Amino acid sequence: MDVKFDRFASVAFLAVGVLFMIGSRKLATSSYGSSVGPDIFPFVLGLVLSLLSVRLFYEAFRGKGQESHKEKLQYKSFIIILLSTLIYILTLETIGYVITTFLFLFVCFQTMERNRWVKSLIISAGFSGIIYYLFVNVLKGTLPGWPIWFS
Amino acid sequence: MANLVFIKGRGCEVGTFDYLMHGFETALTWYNILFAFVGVLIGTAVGVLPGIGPMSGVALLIPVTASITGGLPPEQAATSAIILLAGVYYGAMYGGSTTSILLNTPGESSSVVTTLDGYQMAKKGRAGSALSISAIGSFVGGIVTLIAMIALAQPLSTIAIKFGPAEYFSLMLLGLAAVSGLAGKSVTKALIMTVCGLLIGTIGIDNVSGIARFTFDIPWLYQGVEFLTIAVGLFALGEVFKTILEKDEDDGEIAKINNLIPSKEEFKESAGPIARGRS
Repeated sequence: MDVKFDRFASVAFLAVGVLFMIGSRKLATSSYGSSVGPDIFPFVLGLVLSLLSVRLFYEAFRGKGQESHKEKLQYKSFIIILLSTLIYILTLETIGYVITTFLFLFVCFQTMERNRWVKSLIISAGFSGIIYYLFVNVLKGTLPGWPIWFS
Repeated sequence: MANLVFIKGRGCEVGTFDYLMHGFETALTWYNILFAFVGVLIGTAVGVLPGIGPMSGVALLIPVTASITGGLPPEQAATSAIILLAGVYYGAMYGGSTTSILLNTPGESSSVVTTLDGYQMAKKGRAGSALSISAIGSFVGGIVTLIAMIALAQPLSTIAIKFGPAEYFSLMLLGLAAVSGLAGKSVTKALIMTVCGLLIGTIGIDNVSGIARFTFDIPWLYQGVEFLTIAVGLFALGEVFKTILEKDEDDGEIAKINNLIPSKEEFKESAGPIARGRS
């Protein structure tokens, strides 16, 4: 792990710790007359986290060298898959499992491996169909199967 | 069933053994062994799916067991169904380790640790040995635990009652300290991640006071963030994104399962961990 990343991560964790401490101030400070309330645990943990991230920052500042040897990362396909995952999560309940899974798998297959339209079509259609059949008809589970305006 | 009344009256030493033998008698009839096999088979298949662990696997397969055992008379059907579900449970326990080894994705919380060295073995082309070692370990562990439970259930239960909040707290502290101490090179980073996990654990309704912490009035957060969600998200999504980001032009070789039987050296190396990890 390179030093730059450590420095960035330590600042981010410091922010998280401080935010947890601020957030815990808004909670009740006691329960049933006991001085230990629900706020103590997150507050102390946030404090520990911020102290640790300060220490990490210090370590990253001291420990120089360690050149980062980065390979060329493929950001394009990563962003496509990340976005399609987010869209999949958000549309699963309204459009239903079968159509969203089919589209999601198809997009993923195409980003990972171009030029095999028929094969990825068949695999994604078969996968979503078979899993839906197995889960709903054989195992009697419940899934939002089809778009809500269908039924 | 009427025998159950006797257990209250006399000391249950003799009774326990009788019941045990009776249980073996039932379990070793041919159709029950067949049901156990079918259960383990289905359970392994279900356990391979990430996110469906032993518990949810058993819950999902209740209708299937009812229809499979439907041909028997009711009392035997109930026994056989329970045997089948027990098989599903153990099969799912083992099935989770398959994905841990081959895909670096734990199927449920119990097989998170398997990812640490199982996946490394699969990367080196020893996936077959890793799978069978995990199966052998699972079997030996199951048998030894069963025997230990039969023999030690009574004395252990008296200790378990004495195991109070203070003991639990110390045990947790020991576990957290051990994990932070053993993980990786940087102790600071390990401690940061431990504290992060504890902070994520505070999300949801506080067990003691019943006050919602950090939920921001989002109803899904009231029951907290489940461990399995984080484990699958961290391991599976992390692995997927890593593969996409660092995709080489030449396709990396797929982890082949070429040799299921571990070599003698591998047996020697894994005998210790199997013996220690049985509990």
